[in-house]
Amino acid sequence: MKLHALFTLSVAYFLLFVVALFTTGVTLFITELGVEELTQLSQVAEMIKPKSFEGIIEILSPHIIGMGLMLFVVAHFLLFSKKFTQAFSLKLFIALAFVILVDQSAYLFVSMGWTMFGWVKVFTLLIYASLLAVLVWMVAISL
Amino acid sequence: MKFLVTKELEKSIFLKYLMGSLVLFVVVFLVTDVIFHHYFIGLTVDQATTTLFGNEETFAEPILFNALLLQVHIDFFFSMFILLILAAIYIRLYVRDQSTYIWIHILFISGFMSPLLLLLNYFLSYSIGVLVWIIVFYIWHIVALILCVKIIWKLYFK
Repeated sequence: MKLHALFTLSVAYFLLFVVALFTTGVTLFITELGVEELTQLSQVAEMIKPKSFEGIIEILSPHIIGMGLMLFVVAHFLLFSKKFTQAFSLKLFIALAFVILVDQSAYLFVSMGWTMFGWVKVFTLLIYASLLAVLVWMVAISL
Repeated sequence: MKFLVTKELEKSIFLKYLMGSLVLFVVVFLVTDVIFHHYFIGLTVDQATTTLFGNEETFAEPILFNALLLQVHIDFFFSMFILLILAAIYIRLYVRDQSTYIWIHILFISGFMSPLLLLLNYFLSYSIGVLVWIIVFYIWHIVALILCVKIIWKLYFK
Protein backbone atom coordinates (compact mmCIF):
# COMPACT_ATOMS: atom_id res chain seq x y z
CA MET A 1 0.00 0.00 0.00
CA LYS A 2 2.82 2.36 0.91
CA LEU A 3 4.63 1.37 -2.27
CA HIS A 4 1.56 2.31 -4.29
CA ALA A 5 1.32 5.72 -2.56
CA LEU A 6 5.00 6.47 -3.18
CA PHE A 7 4.82 5.58 -6.87
CA THR A 8 1.63 7.61 -7.20
CA LEU A 9 3.43 10.58 -5.68
CA SER A 10 6.27 10.27 -8.20
CA VAL A 11 3.87 10.05 -11.15
CA ALA A 12 1.95 13.09 -9.88
CA TYR A 13 5.17 15.12 -9.75
CA PHE A 14 6.13 13.80 -13.19
CA LEU A 15 2.87 15.16 -14.64
CA LEU A 16 3.76 18.56 -13.21
CA PHE A 17 7.03 18.41 -15.13
CA VAL A 18 5.16 17.49 -18.32
CA VAL A 19 3.02 20.63 -17.99
CA ALA A 20 6.10 22.79 -17.30
CA LEU A 21 7.99 21.27 -20.24
CA PHE A 22 5.08 21.86 -22.61
CA THR A 23 4.57 25.45 -21.38
CA THR A 24 8.24 26.37 -21.82
CA GLY A 25 8.25 24.66 -25.22
CA VAL A 26 5.29 26.66 -26.52
CA THR A 27 6.70 29.89 -25.06
CA LEU A 28 10.00 29.14 -26.76
CA PHE A 29 8.24 28.49 -30.07
CA ILE A 30 6.38 31.82 -29.87
CA THR A 31 9.40 33.87 -28.74
CA GLU A 32 11.62 32.25 -31.42
CA LEU A 33 9.30 33.78 -34.00
CA GLY A 34 10.24 37.18 -32.67
CA VAL A 35 6.70 37.98 -31.59
CA GLU A 36 6.40 41.06 -29.43
CA GLU A 37 2.64 41.27 -29.24
CA LEU A 38 0.31 38.60 -30.52
CA THR A 39 -3.23 39.63 -31.26
CA GLN A 40 -4.28 37.01 -33.82
CA LEU A 41 -3.54 33.36 -34.39
CA SER A 42 -2.90 34.06 -38.07
CA GLN A 43 0.14 36.12 -37.08
CA VAL A 44 1.87 33.00 -35.76
CA ALA A 45 1.34 31.03 -38.98
CA GLU A 46 2.56 33.93 -41.11
CA MET A 47 5.64 34.44 -38.98
CA ILE A 48 6.93 30.89 -39.46
CA LYS A 49 9.74 31.55 -41.91
CA PRO A 50 11.61 28.98 -43.98
CA LYS A 51 14.73 27.83 -42.14
CA SER A 52 17.89 26.24 -43.46
CA PHE A 53 17.99 22.43 -43.55
CA GLU A 54 20.60 22.52 -40.77
CA GLY A 55 18.32 24.71 -38.66
CA ILE A 56 15.38 22.35 -39.16
CA ILE A 57 17.38 19.25 -38.25
CA GLU A 58 18.68 21.05 -35.15
CA ILE A 59 15.08 21.44 -33.96
CA LEU A 60 13.65 18.21 -35.39
CA SER A 61 16.24 15.77 -34.07
CA PRO A 62 15.95 16.40 -30.30
CA HIS A 63 12.20 17.04 -30.47
CA ILE A 64 11.24 13.86 -32.30
CA ILE A 65 12.96 11.65 -29.69
CA GLY A 66 12.06 13.93 -26.77
CA MET A 67 8.36 14.15 -27.59
CA GLY A 68 8.20 10.46 -28.47
CA LEU A 69 9.89 9.49 -25.22
CA MET A 70 7.65 11.74 -23.15
CA LEU A 71 4.54 10.41 -24.90
CA PHE A 72 5.62 6.81 -24.26
CA VAL A 73 6.39 7.41 -20.57
CA VAL A 74 3.17 9.33 -19.85
CA ALA A 75 0.98 6.97 -21.88
CA HIS A 76 2.44 3.80 -20.36
CA PHE A 77 0.99 4.81 -16.98
CA LEU A 78 -2.42 4.13 -18.54
CA LEU A 79 -1.46 0.44 -18.76
CA PHE A 80 -2.03 0.34 -15.00
CA SER A 81 -5.24 2.37 -15.08
CA LYS A 82 -8.50 0.77 -14.07
CA LYS A 83 -10.62 3.72 -15.16
CA PHE A 84 -9.90 3.71 -18.90
CA THR A 85 -9.92 0.87 -21.40
CA GLN A 86 -6.69 0.04 -23.16
CA ALA A 87 -8.47 0.36 -26.51
CA PHE A 88 -9.27 4.03 -25.81
CA SER A 89 -5.76 4.66 -24.46
CA LEU A 90 -4.31 3.16 -27.63
CA LYS A 91 -6.42 5.41 -29.85
CA LEU A 92 -5.27 8.46 -27.94
CA PHE A 93 -1.66 7.31 -28.10
CA ILE A 94 -1.80 6.77 -31.88
CA ALA A 95 -3.48 10.15 -32.38
CA LEU A 96 -0.78 11.89 -30.34
CA ALA A 97 2.04 10.06 -32.12
CA PHE A 98 0.58 11.03 -35.50
CA VAL A 99 0.14 14.67 -34.46
CA ILE A 100 3.76 14.80 -33.22
CA LEU A 101 5.06 13.50 -36.55
CA VAL A 102 2.97 15.97 -38.59
CA ASP A 103 3.80 18.85 -36.25
CA GLN A 104 7.52 18.23 -36.44
CA SER A 105 7.64 17.56 -40.18
CA ALA A 106 5.65 20.73 -40.99
CA TYR A 107 8.89 22.76 -40.77
CA LEU A 108 10.40 20.64 -43.56
CA PHE A 109 7.60 21.66 -45.92
CA VAL A 110 7.90 25.31 -44.89
CA SER A 111 11.61 25.12 -45.77
CA MET A 112 10.64 23.83 -49.24
CA GLY A 113 8.73 27.03 -49.77
CA TRP A 114 5.25 25.73 -48.91
CA THR A 115 4.52 28.44 -46.40
CA MET A 116 0.92 27.27 -45.95
CA PHE A 117 2.40 24.50 -43.78
CA GLY A 118 2.87 27.24 -41.19
CA TRP A 119 -0.86 26.78 -40.63
CA VAL A 120 -0.40 23.01 -40.33
CA LYS A 121 2.23 23.67 -37.67
CA VAL A 122 -0.12 25.96 -35.71
CA PHE A 123 -3.12 23.62 -35.93
CA THR A 124 -1.17 20.48 -35.05
CA LEU A 125 0.34 22.33 -32.09
CA LEU A 126 -3.16 23.20 -30.88
CA ILE A 127 -4.36 19.60 -31.37
CA TYR A 128 -1.24 18.31 -29.62
CA ALA A 129 -1.89 20.63 -26.67
CA SER A 130 -5.51 19.43 -26.40
CA LEU A 131 -4.67 15.72 -26.69
CA LEU A 132 -1.76 16.02 -24.27
CA ALA A 133 -4.06 17.74 -21.77
CA VAL A 134 -6.52 14.83 -22.10
CA LEU A 135 -3.69 12.29 -21.64
CA VAL A 136 -2.33 14.06 -18.55
CA TRP A 137 -5.86 14.32 -17.12
CA MET A 138 -6.49 10.62 -17.74
CA VAL A 139 -3.29 9.64 -15.93
CA ALA A 140 -3.98 12.12 -13.12
CA ILE A 141 -7.45 10.79 -12.33
CA SER A 142 -6.20 7.19 -12.59
CA LEU A 143 -3.76 7.77 -9.74
CA MET B 1 -2.34 0.86 -10.41
CA LYS B 2 0.28 -1.86 -10.01
CA PHE B 3 3.89 -1.14 -10.83
CA LEU B 4 6.24 -3.99 -9.94
CA VAL B 5 7.37 -6.84 -12.17
CA THR B 6 9.02 -8.78 -9.35
CA LYS B 7 9.38 -8.18 -5.62
CA GLU B 8 12.36 -10.46 -5.21
CA LEU B 9 15.31 -8.31 -6.16
CA GLU B 10 17.91 -10.61 -4.58
CA LYS B 11 17.02 -13.40 -7.00
CA SER B 12 17.42 -11.23 -10.09
CA ILE B 13 21.10 -10.39 -10.47
CA PHE B 14 20.37 -8.93 -13.92
CA LEU B 15 17.87 -6.41 -12.55
CA LYS B 16 20.32 -5.53 -9.79
CA TYR B 17 23.04 -4.69 -12.29
CA LEU B 18 20.61 -2.83 -14.54
CA MET B 19 19.67 -0.58 -11.64
CA GLY B 20 23.27 -0.13 -10.53
CA SER B 21 24.56 0.86 -13.95
CA LEU B 22 21.69 3.26 -14.52
CA VAL B 23 22.36 4.95 -11.19
CA LEU B 24 26.02 5.21 -12.13
CA PHE B 25 25.05 7.06 -15.32
CA VAL B 26 22.82 9.33 -13.25
CA VAL B 27 25.77 10.15 -10.95
CA VAL B 28 27.93 11.09 -13.94
CA PHE B 29 25.08 13.19 -15.34
CA LEU B 30 24.58 15.04 -12.05
CA VAL B 31 28.29 15.90 -11.77
CA THR B 32 28.56 17.04 -15.40
CA ASP B 33 25.30 18.98 -15.08
CA VAL B 34 26.77 21.00 -12.19
CA ILE B 35 29.92 21.68 -14.24
CA PHE B 36 27.83 22.66 -17.26
CA HIS B 37 25.70 25.12 -15.27
CA HIS B 38 28.85 26.53 -13.72
CA TYR B 39 30.06 27.47 -17.22
CA PHE B 40 26.71 28.36 -18.78
CA ILE B 41 25.07 30.39 -16.00
CA GLY B 42 27.56 30.47 -13.13
CA LEU B 43 27.05 28.94 -9.72
CA THR B 44 28.18 31.88 -7.62
CA VAL B 45 25.96 34.93 -7.07
CA ASP B 46 28.38 37.23 -8.93
CA GLN B 47 28.75 34.96 -11.96
CA ALA B 48 25.04 34.16 -12.25
CA THR B 49 24.03 37.81 -11.74
CA THR B 50 26.40 38.87 -14.53
CA THR B 51 25.03 36.17 -16.86
CA LEU B 52 21.40 37.02 -16.17
CA PHE B 53 21.49 40.80 -15.85
CA GLY B 54 24.79 41.80 -17.48
CA ASN B 55 27.41 44.10 -16.00
CA GLU B 56 27.71 47.77 -16.95
CA GLU B 57 31.24 48.07 -15.60
CA THR B 58 32.64 45.19 -17.64
CA PHE B 59 30.24 45.83 -20.57
CA ALA B 60 28.92 42.27 -20.23
CA GLU B 61 25.61 41.77 -22.04
CA PRO B 62 22.81 39.87 -20.28
CA ILE B 63 21.88 36.45 -21.64
CA LEU B 64 19.21 36.45 -24.35
CA PHE B 65 15.79 35.42 -23.06
CA ASN B 66 15.45 32.74 -25.74
CA ALA B 67 18.79 31.18 -24.80
CA LEU B 68 17.79 31.07 -21.13
CA LEU B 69 14.32 29.71 -21.91
CA LEU B 70 15.85 26.99 -24.09
CA GLN B 71 18.16 25.99 -21.23
CA VAL B 72 15.22 25.92 -18.79
CA HIS B 73 13.25 23.79 -21.29
CA ILE B 74 16.17 21.34 -21.57
CA ASP B 75 16.63 21.31 -17.79
CA PHE B 76 12.96 20.40 -17.30
CA PHE B 77 13.27 17.60 -19.84
CA PHE B 78 16.35 15.99 -18.35
CA SER B 79 15.40 16.42 -14.71
CA MET B 80 11.90 14.95 -15.20
CA PHE B 81 13.31 11.65 -16.46
CA ILE B 82 16.26 11.55 -14.07
CA LEU B 83 13.96 12.16 -11.10
CA LEU B 84 11.37 9.62 -12.19
CA ILE B 85 13.98 6.90 -12.72
CA LEU B 86 15.80 7.70 -9.50
CA ALA B 87 12.59 7.87 -7.46
CA ALA B 88 11.33 4.57 -8.92
CA ILE B 89 14.53 2.72 -7.96
CA TYR B 90 14.77 4.39 -4.55
CA ILE B 91 11.15 3.65 -3.67
CA ARG B 92 11.61 0.03 -4.63
CA LEU B 93 14.61 -0.37 -2.33
CA TYR B 94 13.54 1.84 0.57
CA VAL B 95 9.78 1.33 0.66
CA ARG B 96 9.80 0.45 4.38
CA ASP B 97 11.90 3.46 5.32
CA GLN B 98 9.86 6.21 7.00
CA SER B 99 12.02 8.97 5.50
CA THR B 100 11.32 7.90 1.88
CA TYR B 101 8.32 10.24 1.60
CA ILE B 102 10.46 13.20 2.66
CA TRP B 103 13.30 12.30 0.27
CA ILE B 104 10.91 11.98 -2.67
CA HIS B 105 9.22 15.28 -1.87
CA ILE B 106 12.53 17.15 -1.50
CA LEU B 107 13.90 15.59 -4.68
CA PHE B 108 10.93 16.48 -6.88
CA ILE B 109 10.18 19.90 -5.40
CA SER B 110 13.81 21.08 -5.61
CA GLY B 111 14.18 19.54 -9.09
CA PHE B 112 11.06 21.34 -10.27
CA MET B 113 11.82 24.66 -8.59
CA SER B 114 15.41 24.90 -9.85
CA PRO B 115 14.68 25.65 -13.56
CA LEU B 116 11.57 27.62 -12.59
CA LEU B 117 13.55 29.89 -10.24
CA LEU B 118 16.23 30.39 -12.88
CA LEU B 119 13.59 31.65 -15.29
CA LEU B 120 11.87 33.82 -12.67
CA ASN B 121 15.17 35.44 -11.75
CA TYR B 122 15.47 36.79 -15.27
CA PHE B 123 12.43 38.98 -14.59
CA LEU B 124 12.91 39.71 -10.89
CA SER B 125 16.49 41.01 -11.14
CA TYR B 126 17.32 40.53 -7.45
CA SER B 127 20.64 39.02 -6.40
CA ILE B 128 18.89 37.37 -3.43
CA GLY B 129 16.72 35.49 -5.93
CA VAL B 130 19.85 34.30 -7.71
CA LEU B 131 21.20 33.04 -4.39
CA VAL B 132 17.95 31.14 -3.76
CA TRP B 133 18.22 29.54 -7.23
CA ILE B 134 21.83 28.47 -6.57
CA ILE B 135 20.84 26.93 -3.22
CA VAL B 136 17.86 25.07 -4.74
CA PHE B 137 20.02 23.94 -7.68
CA TYR B 138 22.59 22.47 -5.29
CA ILE B 139 19.88 20.92 -3.10
CA TRP B 140 18.39 18.88 -5.96
CA HIS B 141 21.79 17.72 -7.18
CA ILE B 142 23.03 16.84 -3.68
CA VAL B 143 19.77 15.07 -2.73
CA ALA B 144 19.87 13.12 -6.01
CA LEU B 145 23.51 12.17 -5.34
CA ILE B 146 22.65 11.07 -1.78
CA LEU B 147 19.86 8.86 -3.14
CA CYS B 148 22.26 7.41 -5.74
CA VAL B 149 24.77 6.54 -3.02
CA LYS B 150 22.01 5.01 -0.87
CA ILE B 151 20.79 2.94 -3.83
CA ILE B 152 24.30 1.65 -4.63
CA TRP B 153 24.88 0.90 -0.94
CA LYS B 154 21.68 -1.10 -0.69
CA LEU B 155 22.28 -2.93 -3.98
CA TYR B 156 25.87 -4.03 -3.45
CA PHE B 157 27.02 -3.52 0.12
CA LYS B 158 24.12 -4.66 2.26
